[in-house]
Amino acid sequence: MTTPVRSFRPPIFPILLALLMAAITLAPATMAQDAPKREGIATGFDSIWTGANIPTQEATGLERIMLSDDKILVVLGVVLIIWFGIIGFLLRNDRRIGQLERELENHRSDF
Amino acid sequence: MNRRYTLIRNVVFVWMTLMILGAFLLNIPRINILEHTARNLYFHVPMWFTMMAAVLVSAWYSARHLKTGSVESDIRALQSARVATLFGVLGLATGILWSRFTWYVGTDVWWNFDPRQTMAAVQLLIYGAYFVLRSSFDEPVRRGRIAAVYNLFAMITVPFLLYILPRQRASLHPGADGNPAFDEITAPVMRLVFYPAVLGFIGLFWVLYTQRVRMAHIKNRLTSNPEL
Amino acid sequence: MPGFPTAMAMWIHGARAVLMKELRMEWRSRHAINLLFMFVLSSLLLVVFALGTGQIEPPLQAALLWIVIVFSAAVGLGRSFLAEEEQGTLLLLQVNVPGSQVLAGKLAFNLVLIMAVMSVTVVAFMGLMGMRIVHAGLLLATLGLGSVGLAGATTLLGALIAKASARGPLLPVLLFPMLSPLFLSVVRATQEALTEGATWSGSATDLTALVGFAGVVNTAAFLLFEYVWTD
Repeated sequence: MTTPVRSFRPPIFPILLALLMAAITLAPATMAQDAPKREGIATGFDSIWTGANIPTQEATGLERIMLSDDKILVVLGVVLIIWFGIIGFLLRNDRRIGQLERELENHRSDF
Repeated sequence: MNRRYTLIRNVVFVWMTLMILGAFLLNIPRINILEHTARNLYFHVPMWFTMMAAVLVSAWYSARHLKTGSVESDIRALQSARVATLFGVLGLATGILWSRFTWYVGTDVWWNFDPRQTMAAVQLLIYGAYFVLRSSFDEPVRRGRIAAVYNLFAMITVPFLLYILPRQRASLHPGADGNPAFDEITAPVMRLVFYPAVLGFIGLFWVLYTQRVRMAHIKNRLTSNPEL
Repeated sequence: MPGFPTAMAMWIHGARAVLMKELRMEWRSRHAINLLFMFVLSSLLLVVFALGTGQIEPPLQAALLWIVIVFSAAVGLGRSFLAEEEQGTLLLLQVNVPGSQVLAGKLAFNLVLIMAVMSVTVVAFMGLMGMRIVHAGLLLATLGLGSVGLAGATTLLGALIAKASARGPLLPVLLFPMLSPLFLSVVRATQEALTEGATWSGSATDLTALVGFAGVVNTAAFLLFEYVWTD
């Protein structure tokens, strides 16, 4: 006898992605202020990394943002990717739990 | 709700919080090129450890399913493969971001067929095929058996890539030939966070995987079809 | 209780019976071999059209050669178990012949088909694309080892997809990811065999990888086949 009432579900994932995109587009204004590049401690093994050609070109666009503040934003990006992955997984779980609840309702109404 | 599950889940959550705090607040030695991105060691590398753990769990339960034929093992093999896929995708994505803005600056290279990258991609393709194979069966018993056979059969070919790929391309990863081993480049303070991070992410895998297994059990009892 | 030699002879007898049955069926309809032949020729034609008439370098030749071989294997070799299922002869086979002998027979049949495809492809590449073989022994060894690995993988996967209820083009999807180690080493060894100054030692690592791959895949196929067969 239950009519499946589908409540409005806000599209959380797109909203989060939109927020992220907005942050990336707004970031140049706040962050890419050309912080003076400090030299790190040059250690012996830096140069052994294969494929590690020291950049000769001027960094532009997205790179300028990501390389500011000693590349801490790269770490932020990595943490955000993991966080978004886990959110995505949990949201899918949520949808499956919703399906299970509806199936349970159908079973109940059979008796 | 299982008490052991609740306990481990809470411990994992507190542990991960402490790990993230340590990852950002502890001072680490500065290295050229790497700079702050050395902190990605705590986030990117555990993705691979976790994926490996999940792949092994999946293979173990596939083998058990072939031996015993229990639905429980099939559920566990499938859900472990699902979570392994999640961590594999995360490992690839974080690796792409890290390498693009650290070693490939000014080159526009996003993907370089690094040996470990390729291996992970192949393992993900195998799981993709595994899910496709599962979806082409109607009958749960037959599906479980055939999928377990494919999971094991395809998985044994992946270690060959360890032998073949390093001869094809240079690697950015430590321990590959010409590169310093992990021990040589990792400061003690970083190990203080890195090993707990690995444990924490594997714990997180266990939490996510157990949730999915419990859901699959409910689904199985409702419809006698464990496919989530 | 038969002794070991007798049991071995019986096993070989059963496997050979399956192989002969497959060959006889194939001889009557010539379905698979025609399909494979047409596939190789038409894909080769497309390659030639796409690349034009210029001289093609050995690395590219090796890659194209193996792409044609692997794709035709994925298209034409999944049939053998499917046909049993469709004609309803599966039960008869299950009753009369133990699983490992069926697998051995089908595997040998697929090996024969792959080798036929390979010889057609190599000859066509030599004729149409100007492929020059520098080290024939190395090329033969590569083709031989590659075909054993390929046959092991396609035969077991063919048995798997014969059980599926929604078939479609499943075999390529299942086959290609697990074939990547084989593909990488086989292409490199073929490159070596096509370039000047090829030596056995130049491809030693690739050949050992191929031997290992063929061995592991075929062993696993025999171990796992029982679970697919006794349904």
